[in-house]
This record gives sequence, structure tokens and C-alpha cells, in this order.
Amino acid sequence: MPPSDEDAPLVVEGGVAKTNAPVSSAVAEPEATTLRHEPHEPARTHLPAKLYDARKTVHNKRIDGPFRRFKWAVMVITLAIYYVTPWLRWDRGPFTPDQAVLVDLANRRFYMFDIEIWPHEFYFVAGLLIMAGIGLFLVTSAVGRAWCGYACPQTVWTDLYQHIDRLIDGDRNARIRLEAAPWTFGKVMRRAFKWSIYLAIAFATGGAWILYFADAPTLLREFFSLQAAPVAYATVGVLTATTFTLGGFMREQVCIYMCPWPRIQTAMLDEKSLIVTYKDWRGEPRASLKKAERKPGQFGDCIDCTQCVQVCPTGIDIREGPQIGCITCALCIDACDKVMADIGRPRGLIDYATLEASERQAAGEPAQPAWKALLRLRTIVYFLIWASIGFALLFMLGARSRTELTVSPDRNPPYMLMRDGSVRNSYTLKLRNMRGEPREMEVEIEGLPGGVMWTDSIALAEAAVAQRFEVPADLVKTVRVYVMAPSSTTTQEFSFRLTSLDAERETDEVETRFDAPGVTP
Amino acid sequence: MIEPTPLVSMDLRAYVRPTLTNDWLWGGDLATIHQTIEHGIRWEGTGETRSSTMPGFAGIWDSVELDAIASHVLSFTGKGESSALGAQLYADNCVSCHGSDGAGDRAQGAPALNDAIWLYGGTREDIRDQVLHPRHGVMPEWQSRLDPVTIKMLAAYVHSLGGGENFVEAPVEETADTPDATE
Repeated sequence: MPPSDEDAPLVVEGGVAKTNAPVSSAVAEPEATTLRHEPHEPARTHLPAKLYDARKTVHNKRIDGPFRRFKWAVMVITLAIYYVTPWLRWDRGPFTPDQAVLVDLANRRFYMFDIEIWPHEFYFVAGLLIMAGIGLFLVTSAVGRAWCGYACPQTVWTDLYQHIDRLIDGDRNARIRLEAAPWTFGKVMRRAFKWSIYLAIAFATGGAWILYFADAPTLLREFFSLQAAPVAYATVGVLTATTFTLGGFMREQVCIYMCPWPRIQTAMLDEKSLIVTYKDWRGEPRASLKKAERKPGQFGDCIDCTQCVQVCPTGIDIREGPQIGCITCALCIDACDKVMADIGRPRGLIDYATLEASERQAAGEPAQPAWKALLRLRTIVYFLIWASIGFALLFMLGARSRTELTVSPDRNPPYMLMRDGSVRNSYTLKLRNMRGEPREMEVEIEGLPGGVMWTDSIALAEAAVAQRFEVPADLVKTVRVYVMAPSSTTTQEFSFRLTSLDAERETDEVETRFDAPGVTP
Repeated sequence: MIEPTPLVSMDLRAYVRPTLTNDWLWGGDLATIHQTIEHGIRWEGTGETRSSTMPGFAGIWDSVELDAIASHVLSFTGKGESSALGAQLYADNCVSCHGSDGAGDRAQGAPALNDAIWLYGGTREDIRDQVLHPRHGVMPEWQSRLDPVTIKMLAAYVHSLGGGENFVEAPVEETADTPDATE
């Protein structure tokens, strides 16, 4: 039943006339569908009486279905990764830690299984962040806000807390009744019990975080014997508080009001992205089963059972169209499919669909399989960029040298005279050994005729063109080197060449300057 | 064309500080350096200070004799022609401290005259000036101002600046347990 003009009075807002008509009327007219993705103000079911609307607690109903099972799987996998990873061990020899994933801030090393990153290799992390960014473009342009719906920590922990609600207080109706009930002793005890579980989960979440930054078993022992660093307690405190608050109480408000991702992701969607869509051209106008039986042919498939609203973890009505509150978790699809199966109507009244496909289907064309929306130029280009960055990083990882030499000449004095009139320059060499075992390295002077070197621990009498150094495992050895050349030497360039004296024989060469009295060339 | 400006212990005429490379007045092993730092050089008020005084020859030698001695000193490094007069004057007045070949004597703190390092300059004029009016640099003692451990560290540091003599084998370090060379 399309609403008439009489019961939908016009309201003028900012010079634009808007109607107060229910949303379904906007698409009830055939021509309205042609403007589906045009920037038009969606009609509202009501005009807000005041600007502030108090939050209504979301009591989402239990549902089962393919998407709910997928969400379960993602939740189990992501939580398992988060809680288990710090406990994985990885043997790297006697000189480096044996924790598989470790961000060693104190020693400035990042370990991830067989990969060890030093601070000067931070571009690997930058590359991963760029991949994460492009990956987000890719996923969003293909399947919309899939990150929000399944993998975001806020979503996963909110989901976990909602399961706790269901476990302790029962399903949707029981929870609604309990919330409305007066604060009897029983309710206080029940709430205290539930919030204690909230707190325990929050504490485990904050506690697991710090285990990534130190040896997990050691830190855990120190933590509970009150010997850990204050920053460990502070970190656990802050993360426990945020998890307890954001996951236990604020939940969907974080997504709707606090998080910038929905805004960014919304901007990255286009008319070819798969989003959770209520197929209004099929569902409207709504009518209960009985009503539809009385007047067959006049109503759409939606029986207004509001199952889609009841299962929604953010408490929205997907039938109002795409909106910022929709995290596209697709639980409404599960709910609606179940109802459609029960009443013998085809599934997919709510389904993943692109705006473009929606327009075509609304115009009467047959539906195409959803996976076809995934393969298009934009997603393929994103994928190629994403994959080539990944391959470039892998290549760099395989080709990187585990040895490096840096040279800084003394500037003051630039040179000194020796007894016999020879000229001496001083240099600070840094020999980097990124391997997990001590290595012997040789440093040689190249391109300085008559040049010899010695150090603060190798006497002048043993000065030679090349010297050997023992560099400890996974460290940089700093050596002061003195280079002497005959008195006839003029200011010139020369180089130090580093060679590791092991099977790899990695080399590095650094050009530097030898200063001498006399005319600068 | 700009030459790099030497600042520390390089232009010895301007700064009159001994180099710490490998030209030692009193010796370059750890114990000698340590004693020099402790007691200073020509520092009044401490009996153990290092002391040496070259006599001045103003009013004793005339200009010809000064030229002869300067030429003889320069001949050690091949920059002058020695003469019979110069050799005689050197043998009579200088050899007991500076040695017949100009090698100097560390026991007395007498500088070598046969090398490239000149405390107060190596030109003919510089040498004449020094013979006429010797300058005697002073280094303060540090034992009353620095504690013994600091003086030891200082001696080791000076010894490490490239000119140290008589190296002792360092004890084996346990680097694996105490990484101190992290970047």
C-alpha cells in the first residue's frame, strides 16, 4: 500500500523538501529504482523529535547459517592466533631469543619465525602496512566492509561478549526482560557475575598483548610475582579497561560513532561492490503471511517478521538500505534465508549484491552469480599491485645481506703526523653481524698506496693493510681504526672493504676520505 | 684551495701541545702514561712530577754558533748541512740529553730531534729561538683532582689513541652474555 501525500507531510530542510514517508515508498514506485545509487536523501521512517537519541541496547538473537558459521570460524582463528602466538617457540641458536614472534623493543629486533628485522630494515614493516592498505582497497572494492563484518578486533570481541551475554542471561527475549526488570538482588548478582567474566576476558586480552614484547613464560612469571616492568602493568591496565568498555558496553557505538574505518570504507565502495542488500523490489510492499494469503499477488516476499533486525549485532534494520551502522556481517541473510525456507519462498530476499546488479534485477533481469562481481578490472589491478609488493618484499627478504660496514672519519683533527712524518687518519668503523652466530670479518684498505691500519687494541707495530675482527652474534661491533700513509700522501678517496670469513663470504665496501697536509685536490 | 685547518695537537707552533700519536717525550706504555697523568710535568708542589730543564744559550753563543747548531740539528732529518763547528758545539753541549744521532732520551724527557714532530717548530728560526730561550711546557698533576680509577681509565684511553706501546693481552671478554655493542 503506497502511502498517500496526506499522511507523509513535506518538511523543508535547508531549502530542500523532504518527505516523512516510510522508506519503502521511495522504492515502491518503479521509477525510483533508477536513482538507486544517485546521491539522494533517503526517506526516513520518522523525523527525529530531538537531536540526541539515547542508545538502545542491542540484544541480538541467536542465529545459525553459513555466514554465522563463517563468523564463528573467523572468530576462533583470530582469537587463537592472538592468544597462542606468543607461546610458540622457534629455535634460533644460542645467541638469539627462541620466541617465534617477538617485538624486542629493548634490543630493537623484530622476530617472526625465520625472519629477523633490524631497525634499519623497517621498510619491510612499511611494505607490510602498504600491503594492508591495498589489501583493504581490494577486499572493500570486492566484498564491501568484510573487514568490519568478520575480522575487525572490535567485531570479534563484541561477538565474543555477545555470546557471553547469551550464555549467562539467555537469548534475546530473556535479556530484554532482564534489562527491564528492577534491580533485585538476583539481578545484581547476575550482572556482577557476567561483568566478572567480561573483566576476565578483558584482562586476558590486555595480558596477551604484552607477551609479544618479551619472553612470554618469563614475563608471565614476573607479572604475577609483581616483578615485571611498570609499563607492563600499565599496558595491561589500559588494554583491560578499553576491552572491558569497548567490547562489553559500547560495542556497536564504536563502529557507528568512533571508528573512522566505516567512513573510509564507504568511500571506497562503488556500484560494483558486493554489499548486504535487502531486495526491496522483491520484498515490498510488506505483508504478513495471512494478509498475503487473503490478497495474493499484491504483496512482496517480506513478511515483516523482523528476524533480520533481531539478529543484527549493531541493531539496524537492513531494509532501510545501506547505512553506516551496517558492518556487513550478513547474519540478516542467514536469518532471512531461514524464514524464507520455512514459508517456502526462494532464499536471498536479503543477500550480497552489487548496486548495479540490484538495478538490473529491479528492472526485471535475471540475477547473476555473486562471484562474478569479484572479477573486474578494479579488483584485478588492486590484486596485482598488492601481489607485486608482496613478491618484491619476499625478494628483498631473500636477497638481503646479513653484513654491513659503516665508516665515519674523525673530523677533528682531520689528520695527525707520526714521528717519521707519515700522516695518520682515524675512523670509527661499525661492523654489523645480523646472523645468529659470532663471525670473523676482515677489513681491508683499498686504493690508498702504502696505507696500513691498526686499532686501539692492535698495536702500531702490527699495522697492516687488512685486519681481522671477531663480531659477536646479532650485534654491531664498533672499532676505532687508525690508518697511516706515507708523508707524500695527498688528500684522496679510498675505501674499506669488509669480507665475512665464513661460507657466505658476504662483502661490503665503503668509500671514504683520507686527509693529509698539503694541497687539497 | 683550502687546506683543512688542524685544530688539536697538530700545528705545534700555535698550540704547543705534544701529540699523542707515537712521539712520546716520556714514554708511551701504560705505566708511563699513568705516571705522567698522576704527577704532571714540571708541576710545582709534587715531588714526583716529571722535570727536565734545557738551559738557554742567550749570551753564550753568537749568531754564527747559533746558525751552526741549527744546521747540525736540521741535518738529522736531512734538511741542513752540518759543519765542524756545529758538530763540536752539539757534542759539547747537547749530546748528553739529545743523543749523538738526535734520538732524544725518554728518561730525561729530551725530545727527539731526528723525527718529523717538533714541539716548538722545526724551522731554522724556531730551532734558534728554542736554543736561545727554551720554553718549558707545564702539565698539571691530576692525582689530587681525579680518583685513581678515573686516572687509570684516562691512561688507558690515551694509550688507545693509536700510539700506545707495549700492549698487554686483554683478558677474554664474555661478549655473548653482556652485549654492549648493540646498535
